[in-house]
Amino acid sequence: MIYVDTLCFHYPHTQRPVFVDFSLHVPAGEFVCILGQSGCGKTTLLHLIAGFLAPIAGRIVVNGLPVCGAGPERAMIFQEATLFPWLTVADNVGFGLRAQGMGKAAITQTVTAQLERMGLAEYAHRYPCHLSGGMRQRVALARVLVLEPPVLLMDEPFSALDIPTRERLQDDLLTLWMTQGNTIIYVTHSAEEAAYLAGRILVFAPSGAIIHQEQVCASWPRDRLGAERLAVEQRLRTVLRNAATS
Amino acid sequence: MKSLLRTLLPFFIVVLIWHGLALFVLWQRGVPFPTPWQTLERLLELVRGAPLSGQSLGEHIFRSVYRWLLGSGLAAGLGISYGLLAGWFRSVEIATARIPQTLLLVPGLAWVPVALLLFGVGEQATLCMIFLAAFSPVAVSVLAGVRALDPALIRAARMLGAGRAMLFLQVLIPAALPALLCGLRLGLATGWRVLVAAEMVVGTGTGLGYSLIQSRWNLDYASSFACIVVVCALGLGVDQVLTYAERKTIAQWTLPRDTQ
Repeated sequence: MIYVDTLCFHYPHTQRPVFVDFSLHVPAGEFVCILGQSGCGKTTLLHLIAGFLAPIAGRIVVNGLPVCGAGPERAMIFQEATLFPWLTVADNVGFGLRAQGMGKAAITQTVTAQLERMGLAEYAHRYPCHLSGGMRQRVALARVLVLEPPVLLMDEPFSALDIPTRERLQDDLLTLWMTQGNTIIYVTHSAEEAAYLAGRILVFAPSGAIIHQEQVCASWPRDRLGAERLAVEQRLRTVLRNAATS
Repeated sequence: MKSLLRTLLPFFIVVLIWHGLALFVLWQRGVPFPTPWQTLERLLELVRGAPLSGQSLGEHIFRSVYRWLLGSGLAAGLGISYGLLAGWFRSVEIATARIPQTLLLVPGLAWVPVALLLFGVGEQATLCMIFLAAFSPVAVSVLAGVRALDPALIRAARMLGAGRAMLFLQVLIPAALPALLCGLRLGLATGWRVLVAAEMVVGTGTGLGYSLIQSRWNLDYASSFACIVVVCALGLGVDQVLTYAERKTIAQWTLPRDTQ
């Protein structure tokens, strides 16, 4: 469960507030998508929940514990895969386990299982530079999922990928989420993606306030061309257009 | 075959230019300028044990390499430590980063009076000069490498649970490795150049630089040239070692240039 209470934040180099008394509650196991224009604070919110940034006022509580610093219980997937280029795929996936002090044999076993689950076993000894963008993002996903994080924070993770790869990774993510039941906050620019993935969609105004909330009732897996999903997408597009012109 | 040709071609070009130059100087100024062949003959004599400035060639090489490894090793160790430290602690960088940058501008031989005043004529003055000349390239390169580290990688490591020690050892150092190797290359090359020059002027009594200048005073130019060839060969050898180190590390995790 993520609980953001009357959060205030601005970056040190500017007095323009990103969040003023911002509150949000995400129950455990919910898949929330955040939509909004560039600069509305979507990524900043993820960074605050991840612990990369500290709020000026207010508090963030995740699974009963106040956030103070980054940690593997709030794993983040970035827009770029941010794999360590000097480590092989297997070593990248095992990085977090090594940080936890797990033994070498246990790490090998866990990493191998995770790579097999995600269809990456044959790439275990390759370096990231030899993988495609989609493959790298899958490794990044494997790297955090191996830690079994209760909360996943995803910052436009598939936006730089081609459509077939993006759609396949979206389906992979949904399968993993339905199996593991993590709480996911997923930032995206795409109304289509939000309508396909999320259980709840939040639309941010440029001021950082939530201007629209939508509960998507359709069950997973959803039909990409289904009427219900298309209707949600249409509504979101209208909200986004209005937000941009107001 | 192609790679052998690629390796040998520069040597052929140098030998050709050298031979042409030797003939031209002899014709134009009437001065016997050692040809590549004469130099090779003298080098072979020295290798077989002919004395050079009172010592064997092996002894001169040993003394030079010893001084170089000591001076450059010290400079590399301190330069790498400084670069990592200043890259890690912003306050250290703000307070000190201009110092190695300024030292970088001082030519190696300009340290002669400083080294002589500090240590007098001899071994320690030579080491001091090598250290002063080799430290800055290493320090500046490593610091630049650390500063260029992508903050997203630091964030990713912290998010995965890495503590400060793990961040330093398993993220910062490997990320700075390309710059570190580049700095080492520059530092060792600078140290080598300064070593030879220092041995010429500081009066060490042994070493390739010393025997090079002594042979010149004795008008034994073929020996001087043989020393230059040895200096080049040793420098190339070290460069090959560093290239091998690069191939075994960073070349594995970066794409070859022609596939990017």
